[in-house]
Amino acid sequence: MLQSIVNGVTLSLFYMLVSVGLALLYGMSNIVYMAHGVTYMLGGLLAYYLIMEAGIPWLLAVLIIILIFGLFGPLVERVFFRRVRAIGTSSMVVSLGLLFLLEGIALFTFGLRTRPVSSGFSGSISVFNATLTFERMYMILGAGVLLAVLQWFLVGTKYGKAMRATVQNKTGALLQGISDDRIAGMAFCIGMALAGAAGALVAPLYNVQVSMYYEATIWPFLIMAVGGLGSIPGCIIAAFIFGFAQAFVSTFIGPVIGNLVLYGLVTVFLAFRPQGLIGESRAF
Amino acid sequence: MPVLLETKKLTKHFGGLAAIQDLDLVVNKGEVVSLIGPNGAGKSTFFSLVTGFLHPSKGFVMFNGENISGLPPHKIAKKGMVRSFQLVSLITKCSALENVSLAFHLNTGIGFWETWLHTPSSKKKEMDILREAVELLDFVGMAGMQNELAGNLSLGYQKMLSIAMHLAASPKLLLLDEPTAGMSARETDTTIRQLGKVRDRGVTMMVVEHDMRVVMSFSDRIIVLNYGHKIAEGSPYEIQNNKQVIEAYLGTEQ
Amino acid sequence: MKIASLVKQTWIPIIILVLISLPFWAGDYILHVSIITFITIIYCSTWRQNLISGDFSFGHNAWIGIGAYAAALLGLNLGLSFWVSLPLGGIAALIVAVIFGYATLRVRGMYWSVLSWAFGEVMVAIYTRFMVPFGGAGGLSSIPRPTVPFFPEFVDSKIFWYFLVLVLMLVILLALYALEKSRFGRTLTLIAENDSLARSLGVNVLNYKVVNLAISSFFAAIAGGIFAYYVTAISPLVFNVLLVFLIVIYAAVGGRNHFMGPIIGVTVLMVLTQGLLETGAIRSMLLGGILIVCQLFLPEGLVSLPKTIKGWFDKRKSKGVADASSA
Repeated sequence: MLQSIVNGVTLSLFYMLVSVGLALLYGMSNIVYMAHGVTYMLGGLLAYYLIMEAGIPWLLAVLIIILIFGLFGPLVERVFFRRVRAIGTSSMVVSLGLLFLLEGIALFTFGLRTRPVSSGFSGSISVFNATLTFERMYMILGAGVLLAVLQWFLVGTKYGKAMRATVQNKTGALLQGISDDRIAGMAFCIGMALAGAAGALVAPLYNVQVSMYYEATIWPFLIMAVGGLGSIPGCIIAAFIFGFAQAFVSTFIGPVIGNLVLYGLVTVFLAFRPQGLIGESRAF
Repeated sequence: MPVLLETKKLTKHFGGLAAIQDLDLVVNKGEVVSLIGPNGAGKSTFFSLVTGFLHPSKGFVMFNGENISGLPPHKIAKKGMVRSFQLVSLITKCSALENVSLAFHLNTGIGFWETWLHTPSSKKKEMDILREAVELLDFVGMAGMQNELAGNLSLGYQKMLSIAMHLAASPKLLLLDEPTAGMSARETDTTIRQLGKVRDRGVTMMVVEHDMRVVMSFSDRIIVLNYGHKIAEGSPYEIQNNKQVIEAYLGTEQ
Repeated sequence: MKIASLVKQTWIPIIILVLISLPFWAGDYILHVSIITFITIIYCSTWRQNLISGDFSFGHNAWIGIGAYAAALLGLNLGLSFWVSLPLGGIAALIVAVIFGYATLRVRGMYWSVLSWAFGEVMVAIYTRFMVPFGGAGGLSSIPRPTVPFFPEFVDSKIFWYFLVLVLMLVILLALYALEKSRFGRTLTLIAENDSLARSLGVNVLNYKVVNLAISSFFAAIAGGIFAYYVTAISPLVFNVLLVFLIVIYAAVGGRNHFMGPIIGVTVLMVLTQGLLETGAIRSMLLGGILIVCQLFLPEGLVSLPKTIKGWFDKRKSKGVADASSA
């Protein structure tokens, strides 16, 4: 039981890390970014290379990945999505192409095998009848720290406030002189950094393989929808619900039927409340 | 004169704000009624309420003696109350003729299977519709523009096309939301003349307008809204001299 | 100019003749690729049908999967003939689609897209979870061969499948084309472009959308059923959302807003990625790369290529004239 809670916390935090970026991109720049799951996967793959082949310690690798992905984010925006905005095509379709392209590149370099990543932390502590490995502890800590930093950024800094303002009132923000391009660039920077970090943090737990992008593509979208498309607080609440729901259902009912139940519940929920938990009812 | 549209104690809340409050209103058959008021008085909200795009918080709407409160827009349209929109409501990618003939089609009975299988009988009905559409375009003064893409027409003609499309639905009551908005003086005159012809055809009209010249010259009766309430009602002459109306528009004297 | 109009009027019969003649000079491999291409064209065109009414579906795999599993199960468990199972599979999907449609098509735009995505995954989860009757993660195999009078072994040849799928594809494409050009289709376009106008003209938008979904799901399911019988073994992962992603890519590259878009997109991309099917990596890279390039530089798809080239030439011509006159 306690184990489920631990699992729930872990899952929630990771769903949050990946979903928030997606919500930022949609809420601020109206970009539907299908390649988010691939970013997560690439974070994991890069972690493998850094840790297992270059011998860099796990947590340092995570930081490096955050840096790299954070720098890549605005680049991706500049190369691909600026033009999307200029000519008015669908960001959804373009990012779908990115999904396939990156997945192909990953497959080509990494292959089909699953490879383990060691975190360098062994041992665990037992609390009541739940075992908490040090590894897991650092994962939770790492995710928590990142989310806290994000929170500080969004609430405490000038840029963060500007970004939140944009979600609520796009025109007003534009009139204030906050440029469209810069906002999108920041959103990509944050989103990709968080997703990559999530992939790297989780790597020792789940082992790394290219197909890990699949679940990471679907769940953040569903979480974002349940929370309310583009709403960040909604996203966070939904991520919590999902993480715990999945943990408990997996433990008590089994993983496969767990998925079925979760997908089913999401479908029914969205059919009755498509605007999600926090969205405005513009969905009908 | 028989009553076509009647609202009783019509109210609509948005959150804590009452956009329309306790509105009792009547439109008689054959009339042209103008609905005026300062911005935000609730005029477009009223249109949305009576045509089913919004649900009333309280009160009800009667059309042709029937209670239609809460019915969806397409059902109300089929009963004969048709509404146009402030912003352009056309298919921009199709020609004027295609737009109007589609509007006709939606109100005739060509069956689904007939049209899918492109049967000869459906072809014949299509011909009839096309003829009627050409006639209607003629009637609204757009005779030469049948094959122009709707998106390429000037604003005045776009609005006229939109009105034509709604006429194709054989409305008993036509609700026009700012038909002359954004038009030059000349375009406005043309439009008003056209609307006169529409009235002569027997279509009852309710018009939301800001152009006072239009309102005063074209209406049989004027209803004035402010903050969701009806503050005055009467003939153009009466309204022009109504103190409350003048205050509402210009503010009170210091 | 005479040549242009001649081509315009005769290209369809010419292509059909070429397709009919294919089995007489092409080998089994080309026939196999063609069969898969035809089936994919049906998937893609039926998906696009939903786009006409403004519904971007991420759940199209659900109908294909229902058609495949239903037709396969009717043959395997009830011993029904292929010729009966196939349409029944289509009807099964149609029924589910109608229920789903009435329940969800009130929801708009992106919200409905995500909803349809979740629904598609529900179906995949159902196939995976239940060993009985869906065979769980392993799926179904040994789907029986159709029976054909007089020449029962004919069914074993690729030629049988080739013609069967070709005829089916042509019939379905014709039906979809007729639908799009009909008043029903025009009304769908109106609904997609201006929902409120449609309602104010008396259109019951929900009904129209549900009928549209029913038709597209029926045809998609038939294609799924044929696929199941052709490959004789299906598993849940074949019908997950990646199938929809591929469909979207084909449609986008070909041209989402044109009837010929899916057909051209599927054909071109299938041909280009031939021989690359083994190394999924290169295929993915190619598809992704082509899609990105197309979306950024040819957003209306390959169907707009003639127009774009013509526009390019016209610009150069007028530029030439301007240069000449200013010289």
